[in-house]
Amino acid sequence: MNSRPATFSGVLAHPLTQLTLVRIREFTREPEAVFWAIFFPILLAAGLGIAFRGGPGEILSVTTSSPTLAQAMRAEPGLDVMETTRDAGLEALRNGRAALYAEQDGGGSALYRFDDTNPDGRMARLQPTGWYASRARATSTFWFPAWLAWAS
Amino acid sequence: MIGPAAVALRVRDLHKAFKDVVAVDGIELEVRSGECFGLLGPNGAGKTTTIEICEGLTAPDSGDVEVLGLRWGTDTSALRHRLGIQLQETQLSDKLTVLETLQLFRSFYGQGPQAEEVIARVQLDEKRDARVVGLSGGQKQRLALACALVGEPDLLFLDEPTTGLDPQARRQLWELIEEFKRAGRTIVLTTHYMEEAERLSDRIAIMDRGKVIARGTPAELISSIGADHLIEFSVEDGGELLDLEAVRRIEGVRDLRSVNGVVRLQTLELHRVVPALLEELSRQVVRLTELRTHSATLEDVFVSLTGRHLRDE
Repeated sequence: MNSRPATFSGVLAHPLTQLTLVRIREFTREPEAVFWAIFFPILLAAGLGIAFRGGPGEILSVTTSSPTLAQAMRAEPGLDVMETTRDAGLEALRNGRAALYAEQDGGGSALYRFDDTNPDGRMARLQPTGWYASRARATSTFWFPAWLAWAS
Repeated sequence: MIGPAAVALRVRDLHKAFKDVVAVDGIELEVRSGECFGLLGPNGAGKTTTIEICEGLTAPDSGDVEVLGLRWGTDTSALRHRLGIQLQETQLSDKLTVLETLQLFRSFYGQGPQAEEVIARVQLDEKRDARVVGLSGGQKQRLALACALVGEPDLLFLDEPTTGLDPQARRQLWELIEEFKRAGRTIVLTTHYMEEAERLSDRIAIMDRGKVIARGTPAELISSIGADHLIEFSVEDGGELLDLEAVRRIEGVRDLRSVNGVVRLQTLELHRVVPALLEELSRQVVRLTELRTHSATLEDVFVSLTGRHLRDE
């Protein structure tokens, strides 16, 4: 029953092998299919990559009431640090002019306030590094008037 | 009576309906081993449905089908290895070459010749590495036949193998089928070409509207209408002035019919009926517009049985 000829035998003569081969041949012999399935995604990725290439990092505005913190944060090239009062800092945070307000709490560690719904706020929170970052506590400030009133 | 071993295909009281259309209405067939059996009939007669049921592609509503002593349902896998099937229309993958197509089909069978050998048998050597898309209609049909032959089948089903082919391609295919026949294999063939049935078949069943209306060898069937010759004529004005009864009374005329203004009559004595017919027409002062005579064929058998032509839809 299974006397397969020598030249077309073994694995090659198995129906599964043949069906697989047929699928591969049918695919590779259709230039459109090969283009859309293989080359098009690569071209698309390259095109989008060129179009949205990352430029120089965005400068984020941050405020602080502490001269020490201001000095530390100025070492970060991506931050535009403005020293101001606590009220003005929170005000700037609320209306979006600043992405983050930093202050020093009683224990000498930094407290960062930022708006959780503002992506820039999270970015700014990630920027301060080094000594202060290791001791920092972060608090997100929601745009919720009652909460803001309490926080301020 | 023939013994069970000598019967390749036995169909008993087969019924199949598609919704309210009865395709097969109580068919009985017996195909002997080693013969070529033809199912002849017009389009829509139920030939393809019958053959598809025998091939196991369609389930019957009722009836019994025994193929090579086996039955669909219980011996399906064994049967598939022993049958070769050429469908009415085969759509093989355009992107594959002839050799690749046959290797694929060869891989489905546990036995059979090499793909190259079958290619040679159907005379496609030159097209061995050509893609299917580039083949002519006749070459495609020969490739389809090769796919049916590649498993060295004991029983070969051919469903209208030459429909749509030019006369030369048809003759080429006939030769291949005859060769397979000479090798002692059994063939079941459907066709609506009477020449095809006449040339290839040892025995024929004529089908019409889901029923077998006649069966026998081509010679038996032709002689069954009791006339060797047929005369067809038409006259001016569509035959309104023609007195058919007078024509019918001419000595030697049998079975006279008038279909769409064409009068057909059968006779055993052409040499006597034609002069008498011409004399009668001139007596009636009717002018002939056409007169033809030919020897009786299977087509005439069909016409005398149903009053319709094989090619009428």
